[in-house]
Parts: sequence; structure tokens; C-alpha cells
Amino acid sequence: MKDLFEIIEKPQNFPYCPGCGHTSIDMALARAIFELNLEKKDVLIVSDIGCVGLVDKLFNVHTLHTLHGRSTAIASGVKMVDEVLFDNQLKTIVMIGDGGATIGLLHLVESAKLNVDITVLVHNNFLYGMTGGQHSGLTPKEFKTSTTIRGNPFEALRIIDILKNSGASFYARTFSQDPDLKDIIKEAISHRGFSVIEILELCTGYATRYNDIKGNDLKIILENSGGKIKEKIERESFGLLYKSKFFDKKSEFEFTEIEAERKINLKNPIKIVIAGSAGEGVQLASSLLCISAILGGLNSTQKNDNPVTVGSGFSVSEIIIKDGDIKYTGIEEPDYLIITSMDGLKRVKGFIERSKNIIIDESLTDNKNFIRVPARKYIKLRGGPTYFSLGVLFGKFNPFDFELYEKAILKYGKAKDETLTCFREGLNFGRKL
Amino acid sequence: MKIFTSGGELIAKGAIDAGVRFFAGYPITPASVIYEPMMRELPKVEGIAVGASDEISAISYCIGASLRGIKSMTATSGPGFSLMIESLSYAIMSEIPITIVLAQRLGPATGGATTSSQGDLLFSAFSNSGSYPLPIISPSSIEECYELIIHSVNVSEFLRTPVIFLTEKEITMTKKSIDLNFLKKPEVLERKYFSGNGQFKTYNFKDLKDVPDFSPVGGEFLTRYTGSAHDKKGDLKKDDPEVIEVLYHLKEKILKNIDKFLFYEYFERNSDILIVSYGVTSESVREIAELKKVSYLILKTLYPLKEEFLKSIFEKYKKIIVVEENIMGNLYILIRHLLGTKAYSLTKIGSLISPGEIKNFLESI
Repeated sequence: MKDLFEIIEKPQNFPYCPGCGHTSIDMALARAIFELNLEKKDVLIVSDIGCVGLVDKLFNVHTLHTLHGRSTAIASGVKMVDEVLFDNQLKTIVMIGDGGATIGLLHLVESAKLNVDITVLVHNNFLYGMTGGQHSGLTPKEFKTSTTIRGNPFEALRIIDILKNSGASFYARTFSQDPDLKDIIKEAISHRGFSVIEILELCTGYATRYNDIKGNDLKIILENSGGKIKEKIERESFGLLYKSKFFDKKSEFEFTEIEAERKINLKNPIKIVIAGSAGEGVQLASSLLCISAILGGLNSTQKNDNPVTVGSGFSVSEIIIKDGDIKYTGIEEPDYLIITSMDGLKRVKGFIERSKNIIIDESLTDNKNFIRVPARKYIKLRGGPTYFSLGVLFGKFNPFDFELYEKAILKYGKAKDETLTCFREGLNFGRKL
Repeated sequence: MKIFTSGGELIAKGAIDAGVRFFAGYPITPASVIYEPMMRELPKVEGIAVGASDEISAISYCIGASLRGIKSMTATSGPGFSLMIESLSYAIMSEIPITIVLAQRLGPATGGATTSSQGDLLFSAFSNSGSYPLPIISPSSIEECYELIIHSVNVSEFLRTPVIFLTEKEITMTKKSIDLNFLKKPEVLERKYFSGNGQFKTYNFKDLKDVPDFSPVGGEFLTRYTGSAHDKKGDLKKDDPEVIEVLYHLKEKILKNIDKFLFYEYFERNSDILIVSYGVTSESVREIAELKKVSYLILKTLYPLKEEFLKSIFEKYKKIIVVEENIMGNLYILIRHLLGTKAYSLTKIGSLISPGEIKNFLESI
């Protein structure tokens, strides 16, 4: 590039108000890009909403005009991919105002935390310039705006402190007339990782209307609010970390794969509902039941029901086993209803009248029509009540080969010894019924 | 060989097979069952999966990744989708392909995290400011998640639009024995890149229905992407006829290309009765239609609808029942002007609509 004005419009064509700090910042950025000798196609300017978002047309590089506050997040998506999946050449610069930094604060925090390799220029003119000069989260205390006519009663957010503490690996703070601005921007762009510069500037449209303030006062405001800052910390960027941490093994998509061992002849589908308490193995034992059916060449489905907490309250599984395609995965009339706890009993009350056979823990009912079993005696063993009750089901009704269920436990289960013991105890109990 | 898996896992597998190499997620039931396998599996194929700090970040990351040229996806449920809407509008306006899986749960608000529901069809169809059309595709069974997520990514890519993959808790979280050999894999399609012939404009088209050739940010041709009203070049403008033309193009490229993503299952029997449904309820419809010897139409493209096509089917029947698991009859509202006089809306919330409930309704009319 021979001429600075290959990448930026002449300042007389800028759309900003006379004296607006945006002009100085845009020119400093253009000079930084020029002096770094970057190719136009290797620069992306991501703009936010507000006057700061008028920047796109001024630059002859890639530009991306986004939503209010979302510029940082969208730029981060671009750069994550560029760093990990491409050649990591794209210098991504976010142009955001104090309003955008407030509404999109969490994006800034998160990108700093992840150390995404972007550069964020926070244009802090203390107010929302495009919409009429309202105060923002970065408006200094006592500063007057169209919505804080008597002076802002609150302290401004210290955006650099926030991002420093969020993990930004390059952070700086200065003002738009600072002769060093271009060099600070150059350093920020060259830095590999999240870099942010807060640049104090003056909105000549509104800040001067409500406050007795001139461009030279910015330096004083800067000094009174933490002063000029520039710090750099060496830390691995998102992309390098991601690649080194995750791109280490190639393997197939992990499914639970099951090879059928035999073909069971099953005339009618089997519909089983298991109702118990969370943490008592209902869902795993049910999965193993489905798997045992697949081992026998059948099809199965498992529809689960639990409250929003997975570790307390009821846990219910509806299981269908069929020789053929299963469509509707709910159960209207269970062939077998297993109830192992009071939580489960309360949840499946509606099923009781519609169930053909009910296996229930003996502590829960005196009803002689139910098959009452000592399931909860096995509570100390992993999933004890559930595996015992399933053993009873196989022992008494022999829906299909119980050995397949034992194989499912051995191949796909957890705490295999304990669960197998409970299942076999149940099996013996069921056979005697 | 069979697998024992959930719709959520099949969505993840299908997305990866469709070429998705970027996923950003935020935990939410019942969409976490897509987030988790994507975090596990994408690095294995040198893709990126990242946890976001909220759903706005998740969709924003996807937008950025797609702009760099990588197929991108996110997955959420009603509350998270609510947060994504501003960015969804942005992706429509700036013509950025992304696939959003919306796994429905009981609404409104946080509603019921673990309760299935089909309440978000109207919500998602009209979820952008300006009410521009965007494709909504919905699987009607667990195994179909695989095939239709590939179609969804395809549609998103070749039409350069966000696509909503609308599904439900009882599809994403219910497990089923599946024979991998029987899963249908559609051909994978790519977005069309600018070839370098002629002048590159970010939003160039001749016909309103044309999809502009894509070039990534950071690519050889300088791009100008924007979510504000713009001309074909991408310059923000007001009161310019070309800006209005670009906006009509956003509508036409979806509506005029509808045949490229018209997915449905029509089972015609010698019957006066037609059952219309979609999503998880389809399985109950298939079961009962077989038993009662009635016809059925399962819609897998839920929006926009090809009205003349639907009308040509509806005209053959004396009674049409639209069955869905929500409170207002979402699909019924979308198609009622096409249904004729004897139309019924069968709805329910709180649990799946069973074949028995449809049978009882059929017998009552």
C-alpha cells in the first residue's frame, strides 16, 4: 500500500460532527494499519451501533456492521474460526461506543476471558450520541447528559478494570487526541490475544451542550479517572489453546453400539413403566433393558420423565420393546408397572388402573392384587430397588431371556457387581412367586 | 449393528455429516442433548465447539463463524430462542447461513423444562422484526432428525438464510434403537462462492429470487456485511430504490425457492378423513391412521407453506383434523384458510397426544 488514502476516505468526507473524536480515532486506526503494512483483505473492521457504526463506508477493508453491543461477540466468532481453521491472518478490530460496551458488556468480558484474538476500541464519549445524548454506563459522575440534567449521580463503570480482571491480555486507556494513540493501536493489533483500548473522546453534538467542556479537558478527565494505562500480559490465545487442547485425537462419533446376539421371537410388544426416585438407577436400568432387547434382535424405546432437578424427586421411564418398528413412544396401558418408591408411586398413580401387572415395593401398599416385593431392602446397593424389581419381572413373567439383561449389565452397566447381585436376587424371588 | 440413541445425538451426528464445523451452545433442557455431543465430537473432526455466556453470544459466535465461511449451528429451547431473536433478524438481513435447533418445551417463559410441547411454531415463524420468511423444518420421528438436519443445513447454506430446525423434548431426549444403515443421508450442499468473474458485491443478484454469491470476511474480495438497510454493495442507505429491491429479494429468495425444501409425508387412503400433523405427534398419527384406515399428511417443512400444494390435497377430503401439542392450534391457525369447512383442531398440552386420544376424537366427529 503506497498511500494512506487507499484504505480510508479523506477526513473531509467523514460523516461526523466537527470536532468529533471519531475522526481522530479513525485516522489513528488507518495510520496504524498503514504503518503495519497490512493487506486490505487481512483487515476486518466490525462496527457496533451508533455514530461509531458509520465507520464502515470510510474504510476500504472488510467491514461488518453488526447489532448494538453484539459486535464483540460476532467478531469473536469470526476470529475463533480464523485462528483455528484458517491461517490466522485476519486482523479483527471492533469499533464500539460506550453504549455498546454497556449493553454488550458480557460479550467483552467473555471474549477477554477466552482471550480471543481481537482488538476492541471502546470509543468512550460518555453518552449515546446518535440517539440524543442520553447517559450510558460509562458516563462519569456529575457529568450532564440529556437524561442526567442535574449531573449523573453514579460513578462510571471502569471498563478497563473490568476487562483486566476478566483476563484481557492487552489493555490500554487513553484519549482521542493522544499523539501516542496510533502506536498504542498498532501494538494492540499486533498483540496475539484479546486487546482493548478505552479511548476517551468528546461528543461535540451533546457533551458540549450540557457541560462546560472542551477537547483539552479530556486529558484532565482521564487523569482524574485512573489515568493513562497500557499493559500487556503473555497468555495463550483462544485458538492456540483450543487447537492444543482438543485437536489431539481422531475417532468416530461415539454412539452406544449394540450387536444383536440372537433373534427373539416376540409376538406382542412389551410395555413397561418403571417409576422410582432420582438417583436410584431408574434411567440406567431402563436403558439396559432396552439394550438387552436390542441384544435379542428386537427394537426398543425409552421415554424418560423427571422433574427439573435430576437428583431429587421422581424418575420414570417408559419402555417399549417390539419386534418391528416403534412409532408412538408413550405408553397408554403398561404390561408391567414397576414402582420402587413413594416418589414414583405419586407420579404414576394414573397408570395403576391401566396396568396389567404391578410390581411394587412392599412398604408402599397392602393391596394384595399387586406383586409386593422387598425392593427397598436393596437401597444400599447402587440402583438396588430398580434392579431387584426388574429381576422379579424376569423371574416371574420371563418376557424374554434374562441372560440378555445380565449381558447388558456386564457390557454397558455401572457398578456391575452390585447391580447384578440385586438383579439375581430379584430373579430368584420372582421365580418363587 | 444397531445404536441406542436419542434424537439429540442424531441431530449432532447429522449436523457433523452435513459439514457443520462450528457450534456454540448454552445449556438448556431439552437442547443440551445436542450441545453435549457437539462439544464432544466436533474437535474430532477439527471443528470448533464452544460454550457461550448466553444465547445471544451463542448465535453471535455462529454468525461470525459463518461469515468466515464455516457451516455453523446452535441449539436452544423457547427461553433461549427468545434471546436470539434480534440476532436472528440480523442473520436474515445480512444473509448469513446458520442453523438453529429449537427443541420445544412447555411455555410460556421458563414453562416446563422437562415437559414436551409443540408451542413454538407461530413464535418461530414470525420471530423477526419486519416479518420476513425463514424456513422452518421439523423432523417427524427420532430417526428423521439425522436426515432433516442435513437438509436444514443444506437449505441454510444454499439460500444464505437462518433455518430453524423445530423439534421437541420427546424427540431430542427419548432414546430409540436405530439401525444406522437405514438412516437416509441426503447429498450435502454448499453455499455458492463468488468465482471472481465480474465485480464482487456482497449482496449482488439479478433476479429477486437469486441468492447472492458468497465471499467470506477475510477472503480475497473485500466484503461489506451489514444488518442495516443496504444496497447490493452493502452500503447503508436510506430512500434508495435499490434498498427496497434488496428487501423484496429477502422475501422472494425464500418463497420462490420453496420447492427446494418442501418436505412432507402424504399417505393417501380411500377415506374421507385426513389427519394433518407434524413433529413428535406424527408418530401417534401414523399409528392411528393405520388402524382407522384414514389418510394423513405430515408436514416437515412448516414454514413457509406452499399453499396451492396443500389446497390440492385438502380438497380431496370431507373432514380434516389438525393434531398438535399446543394450546392455540399453531399449525391450524397457519392453514385454516386452506382447510374448507369441516376442519377440526385437536390440541392438548402437558403430555404427548396418544394414538388413543386421536382415535376417540375421530369417533366423536
